[in-house]
Amino acid sequence: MDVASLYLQVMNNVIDGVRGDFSSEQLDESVLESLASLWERKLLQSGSSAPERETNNDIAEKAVDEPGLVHNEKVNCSSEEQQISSAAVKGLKEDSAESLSSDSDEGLVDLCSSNLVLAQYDKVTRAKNKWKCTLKKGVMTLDGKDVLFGKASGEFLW
Amino acid sequence: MTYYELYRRSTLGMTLTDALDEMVTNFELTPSVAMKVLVQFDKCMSEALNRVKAKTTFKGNLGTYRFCDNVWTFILSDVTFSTSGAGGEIATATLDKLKIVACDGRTTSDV
Repeated sequence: MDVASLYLQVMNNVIDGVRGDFSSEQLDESVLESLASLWERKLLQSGSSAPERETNNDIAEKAVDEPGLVHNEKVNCSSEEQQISSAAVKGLKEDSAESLSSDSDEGLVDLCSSNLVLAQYDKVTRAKNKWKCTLKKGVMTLDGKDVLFGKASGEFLW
Repeated sequence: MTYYELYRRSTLGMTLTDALDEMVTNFELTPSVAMKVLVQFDKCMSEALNRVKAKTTFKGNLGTYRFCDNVWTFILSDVTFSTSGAGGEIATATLDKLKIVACDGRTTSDV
């Protein structure tokens, strides 16, 4: 199952699951629908689950419909980056700012291309500098694309 | 049964949080209803991930590790991934930097 269709299932399940809460709060069905469409639109703008091989033409077309928005977001991101780097430059004028600048570099990585794995661990072991871990139920955002896994194993050197 | 709130930081969770934020700001929703939606999301996301069969392996250099409140955090560099999907296809990726946040998956059998 690809990411886009699993996301669609989750969205439908969430919307169906809170329908009771909404009606007991005397909220109109249309509020629920506008939440669903807002969520879907934001997800499409993020571009993270747009299928690479066009398995779901519908989503691909919708994503193309709003290229301006996606573009704007990127522009915002880079201008934010510029603000931060100019702040870093200001910081550098004081001599002791060497370490500060490397800190802010890390911040930039976090801002614009954060590769993040969210998962649950089964086992984490270490022998000398070799680490091994087994993970399950993971959501990864790698270079702006979302990938899911049921199980994962990792080996790293410290 | 409670579920981890971990996945709220995923793209799907962040976009939902954004959407809820916007609607609360516009007085279309109360914050308490928005919280109920997020709790529902925790449950649905966790259940959906139970159905994912893909396996991933990764190797890399570990820069920072942290174990706090039963949560492991790893900051890795030069990571190579290979993910095998249900159809047997293998996707690989190489990344300069990667952060892993993992909650304990053993204490809760089904969460």
